[in-house]
Parts: sequence; C-alpha cells; structure tokens
Amino acid sequence: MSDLAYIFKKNRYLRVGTIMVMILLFIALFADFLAPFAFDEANREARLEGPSADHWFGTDEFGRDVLSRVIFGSRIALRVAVLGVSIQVLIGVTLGLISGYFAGVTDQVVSFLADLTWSLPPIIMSMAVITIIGKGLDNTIIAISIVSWAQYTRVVRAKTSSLKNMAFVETALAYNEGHPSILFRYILPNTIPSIIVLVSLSIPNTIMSTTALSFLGLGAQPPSPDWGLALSSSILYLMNAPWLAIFPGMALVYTVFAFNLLGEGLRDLLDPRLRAR
Amino acid sequence: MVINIDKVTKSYRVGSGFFLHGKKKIFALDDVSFTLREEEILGIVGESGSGKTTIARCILALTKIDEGRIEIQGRDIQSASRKEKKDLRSRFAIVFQDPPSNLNPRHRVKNSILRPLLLRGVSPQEAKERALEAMEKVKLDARYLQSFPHELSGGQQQRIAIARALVLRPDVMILDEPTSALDISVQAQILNLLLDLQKEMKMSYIIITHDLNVIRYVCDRVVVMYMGRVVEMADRNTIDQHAKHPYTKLLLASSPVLDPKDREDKRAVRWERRRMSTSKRPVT
Repeated sequence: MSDLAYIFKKNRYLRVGTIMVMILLFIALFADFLAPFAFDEANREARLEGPSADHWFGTDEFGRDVLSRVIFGSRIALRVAVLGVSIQVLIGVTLGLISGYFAGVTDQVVSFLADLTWSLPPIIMSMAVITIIGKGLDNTIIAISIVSWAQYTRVVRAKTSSLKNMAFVETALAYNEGHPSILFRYILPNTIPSIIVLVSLSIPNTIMSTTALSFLGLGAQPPSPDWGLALSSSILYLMNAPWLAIFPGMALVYTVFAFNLLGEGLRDLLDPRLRAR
Repeated sequence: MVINIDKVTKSYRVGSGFFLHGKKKIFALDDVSFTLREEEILGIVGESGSGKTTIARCILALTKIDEGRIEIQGRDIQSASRKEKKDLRSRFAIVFQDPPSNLNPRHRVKNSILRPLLLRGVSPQEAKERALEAMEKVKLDARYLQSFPHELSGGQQQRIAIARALVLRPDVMILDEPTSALDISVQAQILNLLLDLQKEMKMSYIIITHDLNVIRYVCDRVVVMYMGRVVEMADRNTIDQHAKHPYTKLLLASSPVLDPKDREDKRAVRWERRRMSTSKRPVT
C-alpha cells in the first residue's frame, strides 16, 4: 500500500489524471442525482436563458437545462471510451499477437493493413464506414474503432516478436507447450502493461473523433445530450447564447485532458520505454 | 540416450536494403558432426557467435536445419511428426543462458517449475514434492517458490532455471552457460550437484560454455567450435596436452591456469582466423 502512495506522490500526471477521471466517473455514475433536471425536459418559458441560479449553465433553444445535459453527456463520452476501446483492443491485439508470433506472410499482410489504415485520416475513413453501416452513436463508435486499431497492432506485434525469442518462450516450446498456450500464458500477459498505456492514451482520441462525427451530424442524434451534438446545434445561437457551446466544450476538454494525463502517468509507471516514441 | 549429429548446416539469411534483403547467408553451423554417447558429459566450447547455442536449438528442433541429420536414438527429430517431436523433446531438459529471460516474468517461480512437469503428465501432488526437493538441491529456500523472477538475483534465477530442469529427470540435459551468472562458490556447488545427479540418474549432459575450467572439471569430452565449425574434438585429458587447432591453443592459453609459454601461438591463431574467414563459403 505504501508503494502505491509513493507512486502517486512521485508521479504527478498519474495523481492528477486519476483524480480527474474519478470525478468524471462519479459524475457519470450519479448523473441522475447530480443533474437538477432531466436532459430532455423542455421548458418553453425559459428558452435561451443565460446562466442563473436555476440554470447554472443556462438553457438551450428548447429551454432544456444545459448543466443537466452536460452531466448526462458524460455517460455518452464514457460509453464511447469503453465500447470504442474494447473494439480496438480486440481487433488490434489479436492481429498484433498473430502477426508478431507467426511472422512470415501473415505478418506482412497484417502490417500492410495496419500501415494502410494508419496512413488514412480517421475521420474521412470512418465517414466512409458510416455511409455503409448507417448513422447513429454506436455505429460511429464502431466506425472509429475499425479505422483506429492499428496502433495496438503495431505495439503488440513489436512486443510479441521480441518476446517470442526470449529464453523462457523457447524453453516452454522445448517443454512441449502448444502455440495457443505460448500466446496466452507467456506472451499476452507480458504485453499487458503496454496495452494498458495505449488504452488510456487512445481513449481521448476515440472520444474526440466520435464527438467530431456527432458534430457533423453522423453520430448521436437529437435529443441525445452528446457534447458533439450540443456544439453542433449551438452554432446558430453562438452570438446570443455562447454558453451553449462553452460548457459542453469545456466538458469535452476536461475529459480528454483527464484521460491524457492518466495515460501519460501510466506510461511513465508501466512502460517507460514507450516514452521514446 | 545417444544423439548423433551428422553434417549439420544451418544458415541465416541476412542483408539489408531493398535489393540485398535476405540475399546474404551467414553460416551459424557449417558441417557440424559429433556424437553424444550414453551417460556422457560433453562440453561444447567456443567464443560467442560460434554456433554453440544454435546447436542446442537444432537438437530440440526449435529451429530448422538446412542440411544434415540430427538423430536421437536413431530417430531424426527434424523430420519427425509433431507427436514424435513431442515425444523426443520430453526426454530433454534445457537451461538457456541469460538468467533474467529464462523465466516468465509474469509467472511465480512455482508455476515456472511446475508447468513443464504438468505438461508431462506428472500429478500435481508429485510435482510439488519434486519442486521442493529440487529447490533444496539448488540450495534455495522453499519460500522463493512464491516469488516472481524480478524479486530474485541473477544467480537465484539461474538456480531456479536449473531446478526446473532437474525436476524433469530427463535423459539428456542441455545446459547453455549454466554457471556463468553464478558466484564461484555457487558454481562449484551447482557443478558438483550436476555431477552427482548424473551418476545417480544416469543422464547425459551437453554443457555449452566458454569457461575451460568448467570443461576440465566436469566434461568427459570436449567439442571446440569456431565460426560455426567443429575444429577439434578431444577427451578432457588429452586436450591440455595435445591441442591441435590454433583456436584451441589460444583458448587454452587464455585460461589463466596455463603457463604463458604458449603465447607465440596467438600469432598462429590470428593467421588461422584470417584464413578461415576468407575460405568461408562464398556469398550466395
């Protein structure tokens, strides 16, 4: 336990990042209690009102409370983070393990695919995917993940191909350990620190990309309290009601910043070698 | 168990750049032949890069050879079916060099030792007993079974790796630099232990080393390798007096036990080294 305290004391990124992410989790978890109104509760009497004692963050064009919508929006951001990153990890780590371990033609094909998706701009690519699978938040998450698994593949592949030549893997092979067992008992556990670091670093990217697609009208659809959607619909009233854009924007910046700090901190902690990239 | 290595050649493709990629060959093993006899301790000695470890990997079919045959009890392991390979491998134990990478950093020592036993169908109860026994033999406290490798010193890690090989009670044990990471005092303990076990369990050893003192102390016969070739094969007793190859002479001369009168031979070694590197197979 004192080890943990020491780590937090020394690693400022980790300390601040963890606290910020905890706050975010708390808000998302207890949104029902924290939000003064429901996110879709319209009030015709109070449209486009500025921040006040009743509505701390003001109200939007339908008289909905912006604070409540920002609070409920955190749930969407976390859903994006969890769902998106899970898909990326699933695709990326599987391909990385396979291509690093079996090498040869498999490796060349997978590496080519990874480099290909890596080189294309993710927003454009995911827009192309959305035209195939359709609009909506979950489809957007899927689209973003389909085009951004490559970083996991690269890191896991590199790790795997160096691990598979280590003496403990060779020994296991000499003792008749099967290939699946080598992969899951010996190699995968040793790549997990790198994967954790990548996860916390790719969460902000995923949230940003999904928000961008929502902003373009391809992701979350009204009346969802999604921050990207809120930014998009605030454009019309930007001059008269800037609070419509400022508060969801700040929430977005806070979230991305929190996960970035956490990622930096975890990287220093778990995999200092990654810092060189 | 008898291992017969007959004219084995193993090359690696190297070469960088787009056009030269994989065009050059480096011979890690070049026409290597020797035999491991029943209940024998065979030393393989040579400088780094001379193919000592590659031989170990070839014997266990962890890598494919280009030409030649490796016969274990008359069966060719390289061309054996998967099942037969497993069967043959299960008569070996191996300790690679480089203690920190010998053990899975994510497994407790206990798991590292027990896993090969369980793979060979030993009951968990017996496996545990054997592990405790082996820990005693390598002079490590049984509480280290619960440790992770990074909590141990290099010497302790190496002793764990040796313990893991011992519990298997193999017919042949391949030891790649088994003692280079250990203190002199522990080295002697381990070598004595290996000698005792060999007598007790009628095993054969292949000991790969660059330490002539280890060879002198434990080995019955020595194979001297240089740049992928076997340059000399001799009994322990005759190698000191009758070394023929200049590299062997240099090796003997560089060992501090010997009289420095052999010094002039170093010139011959340098000459020989040049000759061998130019007469190496042409780049294909």
